[in-house]
Amino acid sequence: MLTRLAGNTYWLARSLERAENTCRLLRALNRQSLLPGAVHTSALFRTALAVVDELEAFQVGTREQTARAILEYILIAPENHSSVVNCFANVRENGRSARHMLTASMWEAVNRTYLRAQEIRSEGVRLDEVDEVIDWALQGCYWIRGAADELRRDGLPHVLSLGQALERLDFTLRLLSTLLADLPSIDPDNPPTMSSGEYRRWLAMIEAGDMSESWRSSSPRRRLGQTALAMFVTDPHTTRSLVTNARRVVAALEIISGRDDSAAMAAASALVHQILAIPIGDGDLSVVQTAITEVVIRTWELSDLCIRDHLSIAQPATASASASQSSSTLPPGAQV
Amino acid sequence: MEAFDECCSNATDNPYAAIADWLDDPDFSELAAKRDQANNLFVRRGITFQVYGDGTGTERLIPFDLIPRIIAAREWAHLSAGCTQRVKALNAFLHDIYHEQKIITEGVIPKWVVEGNSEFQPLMVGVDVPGQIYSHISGVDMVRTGPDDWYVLEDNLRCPSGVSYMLENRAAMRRVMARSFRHNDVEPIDHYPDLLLQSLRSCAPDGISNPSVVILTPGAGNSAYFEHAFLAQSMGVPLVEGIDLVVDSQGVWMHTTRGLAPVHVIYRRINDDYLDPQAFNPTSVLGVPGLFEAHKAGLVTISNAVGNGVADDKATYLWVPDMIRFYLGEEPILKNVPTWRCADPAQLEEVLDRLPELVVKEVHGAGGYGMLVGPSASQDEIEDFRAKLINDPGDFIAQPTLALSTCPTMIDAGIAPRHVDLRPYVLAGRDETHLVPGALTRVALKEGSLVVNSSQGGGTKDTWVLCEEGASC
Repeated sequence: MLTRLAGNTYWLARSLERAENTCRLLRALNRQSLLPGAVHTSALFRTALAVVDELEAFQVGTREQTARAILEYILIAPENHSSVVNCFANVRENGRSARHMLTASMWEAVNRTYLRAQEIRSEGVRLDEVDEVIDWALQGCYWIRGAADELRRDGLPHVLSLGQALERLDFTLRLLSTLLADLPSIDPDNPPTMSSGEYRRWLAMIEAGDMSESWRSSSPRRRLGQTALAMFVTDPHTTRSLVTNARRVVAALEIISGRDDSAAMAAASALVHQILAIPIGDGDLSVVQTAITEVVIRTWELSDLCIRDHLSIAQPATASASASQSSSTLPPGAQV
Repeated sequence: MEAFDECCSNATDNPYAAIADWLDDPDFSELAAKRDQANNLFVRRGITFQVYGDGTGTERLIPFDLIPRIIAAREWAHLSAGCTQRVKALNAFLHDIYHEQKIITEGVIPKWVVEGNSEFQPLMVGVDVPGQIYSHISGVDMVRTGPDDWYVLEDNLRCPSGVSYMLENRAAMRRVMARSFRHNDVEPIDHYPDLLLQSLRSCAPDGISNPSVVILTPGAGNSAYFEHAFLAQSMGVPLVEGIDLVVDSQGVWMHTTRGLAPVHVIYRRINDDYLDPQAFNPTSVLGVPGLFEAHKAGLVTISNAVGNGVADDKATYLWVPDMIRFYLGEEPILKNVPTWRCADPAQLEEVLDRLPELVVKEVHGAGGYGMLVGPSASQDEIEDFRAKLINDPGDFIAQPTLALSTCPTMIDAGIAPRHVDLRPYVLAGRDETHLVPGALTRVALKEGSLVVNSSQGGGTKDTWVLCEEGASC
């Protein structure tokens, strides 16, 4: 497979995954904002900005600081390189560059989602419609991903898997480092009651991380904090846990590169060990956060190595796609 | 008969002030659009029920009314305490009648109330159930007739349904009327599935540290199948049918791809008769052979327990206030509707004299079927019921026709008052009996109708319990 096309496919997967993660995060925080005693909606949406690492960028200039302004910035703003609409644009541009490798149904899914995204951008998004827009965007993601399951050419599925796994790692780490800061350390003898704010914040994090199904099937459920942390960090059965995705990176790299001794492979294997060593059992969330910060840095380095050693992309398809690889998503100095 | 309008009471703390802007808005089009949006949501999510006997076998949407029923924190505290008290007493009653029968020997209720009741299950005599909890999930049907006048109509202790509508109504409301939730502190109810699971697990057989819970459904053809699937999904437990389970001397098991897996608590949505062909109806293909023996041996918990019907039929209902006094030593918080027992010749005579003004119900009836609402019945219907009463008086009770309260409801021409009832769901576990702050409100959509059942043209509403002012919810 041409490295250029591998690069396009990789960024297609990352952009798609980013759109989906952003939508799920917004939905969870929006639901939280409707509960009694919730902090103001705009404050909750600022949390979303922090998770997607756009808080500073949003505050630049003379933007209104309202909930709706934040919502539009995250969902549709042209100037936000990671807005959901821009993510769909990146999916399309990268897909277009590799169009001959995509199936007709995959391309249709990409293109139609993109076209509707443009319409939504021009219509604007009201606070009351946020769930509608998010539902639509998530359906677009599922449609494209379902169509992508049919891709068989060369190593496409493995490159898609690599991009998706690295984006999931990145998002889960951001989610943990932002939302854990608002939670008290876990006291196994005094779990939060079901009607408490702490309980709802944990559930919001679980929903944002697409862990609700895992949570429902976990047992015993009363150990909310410990179970949630395990699901996010070390559980090999949850599709978005750190360890699952670090292992997916190892597996994908082995097939893409055809060797098992590259620097990226070594970094990915080391990352798996580092994740498994995160001290989630103690319940001290400040210690967990410190360990996560280390993993964040290692993940950035891993992204850099993957691109440098195996994808070797000079530029993604468009300037907007290039800009979408924000400095916080990629390590400083990453070759893009 | 003048009905109490919950919305237009002059109370200073009228909870409907929370949505006054909707109700006062002369432009109905926005609300109508929201209603369509909510209906689309229900269609998309397949929130349906099946009406038996309509011949088509098709699934229907339960009509959803966009205007919520609103209950103030103070009112809810009263209702919640009353429901909890009632369910505690009913659980104590069920334990007692299947064991010592003190309530009979001490002369509080007559023996025939229990042993003459076709729902009394002799096989349950002497069977111990974990935590002495028989009714883990109870639906207490209530109506209101005045600012402080709430009456319990009946206690549903077998398989009360409808809780999925309570939760889905809230989800739909949050979706289409999000702004109202930002401006009002409405108590959340989303943790109901978690609470239910916690209650069920707490009632697992003794010695099981990590109990496995399943929901037993008759299958996709059942009218409440959507609810069975909804609860299984939201609790994260398997939804099983009878053929998925097997019983041996060690317990109950389910067939899985990894072999047999143990089952410790069965939340069954199958009637007693069909639960076990070896113990009950031998022709049942829905049940699990040997299940009742496993239950008797303490290997599995059946929720709700077998034989609960004796405590929730309309004849036993009369004695619930006495049960509360007898078992709990407390005065009932919630009132019963005054009731005539037609098995008593003197009471029957009075009922026959006043038939056009009374509501007559079958003792074992449900779903709004087999009842007479005197004031709205035709002369032929009244005479039909008169014959039935004379022929088999023990099968009926009668009650005054209550002026059920009304709530503002959307109709084609705008907003109008319609009669409502209320069904909160009480969850009883080993250590706690409690309920989420919310309930299913059923509404009679036809003008003047008092029948709220979905099978009879009723609809549902979201029920908001407002947080106490200044308190954190």
